[in-house]
This record gives sequence, structure tokens and C-alpha cells, in this order.
Amino acid sequence: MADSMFGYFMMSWLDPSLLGLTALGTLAGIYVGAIPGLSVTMAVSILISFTFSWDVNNALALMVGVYIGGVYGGSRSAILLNIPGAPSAIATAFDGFPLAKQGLAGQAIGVTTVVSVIGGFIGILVLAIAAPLVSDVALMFAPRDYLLLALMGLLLVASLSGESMAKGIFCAAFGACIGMVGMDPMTAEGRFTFDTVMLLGGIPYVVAMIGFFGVSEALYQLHHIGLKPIKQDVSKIIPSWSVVLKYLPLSIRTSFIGVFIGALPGTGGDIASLMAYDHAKRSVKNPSKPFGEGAYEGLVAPESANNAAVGGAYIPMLTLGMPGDAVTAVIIGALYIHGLKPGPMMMIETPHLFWFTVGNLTLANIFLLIFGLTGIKIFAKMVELPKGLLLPLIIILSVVGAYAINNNIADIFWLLGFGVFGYFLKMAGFQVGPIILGVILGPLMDVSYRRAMISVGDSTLELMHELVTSPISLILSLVVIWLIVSQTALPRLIKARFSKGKTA
Amino acid sequence: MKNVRKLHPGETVISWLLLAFSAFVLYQAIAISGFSGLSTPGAFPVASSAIMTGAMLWLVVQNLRIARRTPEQDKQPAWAVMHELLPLRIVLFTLLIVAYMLLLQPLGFLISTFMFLCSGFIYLRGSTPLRCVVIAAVAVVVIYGLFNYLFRVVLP
Repeated sequence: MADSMFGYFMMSWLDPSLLGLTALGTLAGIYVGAIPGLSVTMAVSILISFTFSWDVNNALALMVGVYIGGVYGGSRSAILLNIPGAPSAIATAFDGFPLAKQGLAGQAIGVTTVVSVIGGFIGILVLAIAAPLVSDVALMFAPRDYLLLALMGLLLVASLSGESMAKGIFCAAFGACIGMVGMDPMTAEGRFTFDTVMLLGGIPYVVAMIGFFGVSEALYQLHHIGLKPIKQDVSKIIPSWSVVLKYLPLSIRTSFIGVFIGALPGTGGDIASLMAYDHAKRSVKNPSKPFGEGAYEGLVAPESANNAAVGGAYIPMLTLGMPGDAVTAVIIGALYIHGLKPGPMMMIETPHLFWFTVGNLTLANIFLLIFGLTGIKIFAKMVELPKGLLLPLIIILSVVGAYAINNNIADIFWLLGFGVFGYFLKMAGFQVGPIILGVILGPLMDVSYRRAMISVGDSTLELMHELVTSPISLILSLVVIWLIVSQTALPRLIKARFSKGKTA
Repeated sequence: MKNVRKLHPGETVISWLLLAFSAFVLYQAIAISGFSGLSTPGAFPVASSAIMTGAMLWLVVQNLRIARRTPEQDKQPAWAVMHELLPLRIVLFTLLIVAYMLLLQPLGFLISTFMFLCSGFIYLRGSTPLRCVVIAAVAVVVIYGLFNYLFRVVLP
């Protein structure tokens, strides 16, 4: 058993094509993350449709690389341009950009790279240790527990992402409705189909993902077409050991915050990095410079956390089939297309997939260290790619991606529809991330809710009884109740802290 | 209640439209199996669309409250809202995308993509017109090569 585990772990290290794809993915991910306007979620959702004819291992290797690289890459443009290339780099800009203004961009990038890799390794380590345990517990989960977990995820994401909880909840519920369109999996009855055959097969969710993350983002970016980056001196970037050692304790602490937040269903690197920044601000008494004016601590904390959150996000995905964040929601979509069903049985039926992913993540992290500290000159050029060239290309990639899934020309009109709809939602301050989580979690909740209901003979009283008598359900119910109660106050609390952080 | 959130341009209209949309979804959800049982195919859709509608109602009320507090002179006239929400550039670019999608099959992938990229690059001033055409040509060849040989994807 241990032998085969190690074998699967090393699989992507020893197979030249997997090794190459992981390297390619990581490199591409760094660019994707760094170029404002390209997001990891966008890249991974387009990649699903390009790679679905591939062997699943190859496809996953590429996606893992893009994911790891992309989460890190966002820090580059946050430091150099004060524009977070990815949502998880928002907090990085608070102190990264002031450092760049002081001419310390090179050092800032160097430190960021090292702590990202440290965070990444801690995330993977926790994944490797915790996932098998979680998966054992998950086997005891009843349908009602899945319902509660999914509810917890949607509540978390609705309350923490964006400016208004009403908007977050709307988006999550809307996503669930999109996921519901088509034939009911339990009774084969049509839902939301308007008696058309076209809708009976459901709305192709990969197309919805590409529409929301690709096309709508491209349209939204048309507003900011003329931004020019500042030229930076980035000659010295490899940080000294003493600097790394100095920030190591903070990096490790915030990595654990990152893994934990990442492992909660629904919340990922974006929230983890904000929480970590907050933690650093409260716990570091004598920062190298005041926070907000170029404190290295303000870089170390969010960047350790968001890369650690990657490993965390894989935990619920591989053990429960629940996305840890928007990117893993998209990767779950990819696994479905490859005929795999992420969930507690996956560890038993296809254990190789788990160890393969762990090995692959480790490998991508090593590549991250190599690529992050080299090739920065070419990199600076790429980030300056004009939007006028970038946006039409995103559209082409989205169209090809949407078409490739089913070879159906109607899908590209769905794509545009979702793109335009997503654009208006974005303009009104809605977030599209919760929609995609809703699309993945909605059908899961539907089925688990009905199984739970059927198992108690449609009796609400009986269900309530089970919720309090089974220990797992009781814990989960308490968490959900706590979330509902505290939620109205929680996002305001965090927001209040961060508005203070920006002005301080 | 302390609320510092500002309204986005056009948010009022969009949230009313979304409220109407949610109500329509709710109506459709009820049509699936009515209220005949707790584990019917329609039960969960009714619940989630009811949540949609509820959240939108809540938002509309919040927005009304914010709008009432906003001083009259801070309110933008309708044309300004329209301009910010839908600048001409976005409308035209979207129409360009529609044209591309419609021409995709009659003209084939290579020609229509080349045309779309040329016009898109030039319109968004990605570079000088001549370089735009060259970049578009290179991009089409690269995309075609990548998808046909590396990704083995069927192109439209």
C-alpha cells in the first residue's frame, strides 16, 4: 500500500510528459495570474474544454500547475501595478505596491515567492495528512450532513464575498437554480425546461463558467483599457536566508490560517489572504515598516495564506466532492467530464488519484520556486501586453472552449448570454464566484435534501430529531445556525477592519 | 443601521429587473410540482428560487433606503448612468462578438476568427493597424495549431 502510494506520488515527477505539463501549467499560471484581467478561474474553466479529450492525469497536471502558479502570479501585478492580478492578491497590494514605489519591487517579489512556496508546502502537507482522515469520517455522513455542509459553504461564500450579503445569497441561489435546469436526476422529470428538448439536458455548466469568468470579465475590462504599468528595477530578487528566516514564523502561522479557510467549503485564497493580513496586523508588534507603507509582514501573511489555501481547498473537494473555492468548483466540473466522481468513495475507489494530486501539487510548488525567482525580465514585458490585444483573444479562447465541450454551436450563444448577464451583475456589484459554487453545490444539495427527506418519510419533525441526535449532524447544524446568526455582523466586522487597514 | 455602501450606476434598475426575474423563476419552480410534498422534484427549486426572491427583495429595500439618503445633487441623470453602465465601446464590442458568432459557421473558423481579431485589435487600439493585422494572422495560426494538434479540439 505504502509502496503504491509513493509510486502514485512520484508519478508526475517521473513521467516526462506529466512533468512537462506541470511545468508548463505553473509557468502559464504565473502569467495568467499576473496579467490583470485574466483570472485562474477563467483559465481553468477554459482549459477544461480544451483538455477533455486528454488522459485525465495530463489534464489534471496542467490544471494543478495553472492553479498553483495563478494564485501566486496575482501578487506580481499587485506589487508592480497596484492592481491585484487575482482576487487572492488584494491584500498583497496593501504593502506590496508601497514597496515597489520605494524601488524595492525586486526584494518584494523575492520574499513573496519564497513565502508562497512555504505556504504551498504547508497546505499540501495538511492535505496529505488530513484528507484521508476526513474521508474516513465522510463515509459516515448521511445525506442530511451533505446538505448541511453545502449550506454552510454557500452561506460562508455569500456572506464573505462582496459588499452585500443579499447579493451573495442571491448569486448562490441563482447558481443553484442554474444547476437545477434539466432532467431531475431522481425522477427524470423536466425542471425549468419550458417544455423544450434543448433545456432537458440542462445548461452546460462549463459554458456557464466560461461565460461568467471569461466573457463577462473581458467586457468588464473594457472599462479600464488604458492603464499603464510603472517600470521597475527587478534585478535583485533572490532574498537572503536571514530575511526568509526572519519571516518564517509569521509565514507558518498564516499558512495554517490559509489551509483552514481554504478547507472550509466555498471559501478560498481571497478570504484567507484578507484574514491573514488582519492576523499579521494584530499580531506583529514591530513591523519592518508601518502596515500599508511597505511592511514585509504585510506581504508575507497574505501570500503564505493564499498559497496554503490551495492545499486546503483540495481537502473538501477530494474527500466530500465539495469545492473549497471557485477554482476547485471548476476542477470538480473537469472531474465529472472525465467520468470521475469526487467524494468519499474516491479515496477508496481511486486512491491513486489522490496521491497523484498530492505529488503533482508538490511538484508544481517546486516549479513555482524556480520560475518565480527567474525569468523576471520577460515577465515584465508580458504583463505590459495591451488590453486591446488581450481582450479579443480572451473572447476567441472562450468561444473555442464553449464550443469544444459539446461541439454544439448553440452553446456559444449561451456563452454570450451568460457573459452579458454576468457583466450587468458585475456592474451592479454582484460577484460571480458564488454563482459557480451554487451551480456545483445546488444539485448536490437537492439530491441530499430529498434523500434525507425520503429517509424520514417526509416528516420534518423526524428530520429535526435526527439533526440533534446524530453527533455529526448536530455539530454541522450548530455551525450553520452560528453562521446564520453571526453572519449579519461578521462581514461588517471584517470590512471595518480592512477599511481601517487601507487608510492607516 | 450603519451602511456606507454606495449604489453602483444602474444598480436600482438592475436590482428591480433581477427581482422580477427571481419572481418569474419562483413561479416556474412552483409549477414543477406545486406544494404536494417535501421531497418532490420541485421542492428544492422552490426553496432556492424563494431565497433568490427574498434576497432581491431585501436588496431592493436596502437600495431604496440608500437612494433616499443620497442628496438630490449627487444623483446622476439617466443618460449618465446609461453611459457609465454601457459605454458605446462595450455595446459595439458585444455586437462585434455577435457578428463573429453568426459568421463562424458560414465563413469557417480561420477566416471569421482572423476578421474578428483584426477588427477587435484595431477597434480597441491594441497596436498600429498594420501590426494588428500581422498579430491577428499569427494568433489565428497559433490558436489553430494549438487546438488542432496539441489539444485535439474540434473547432467550429
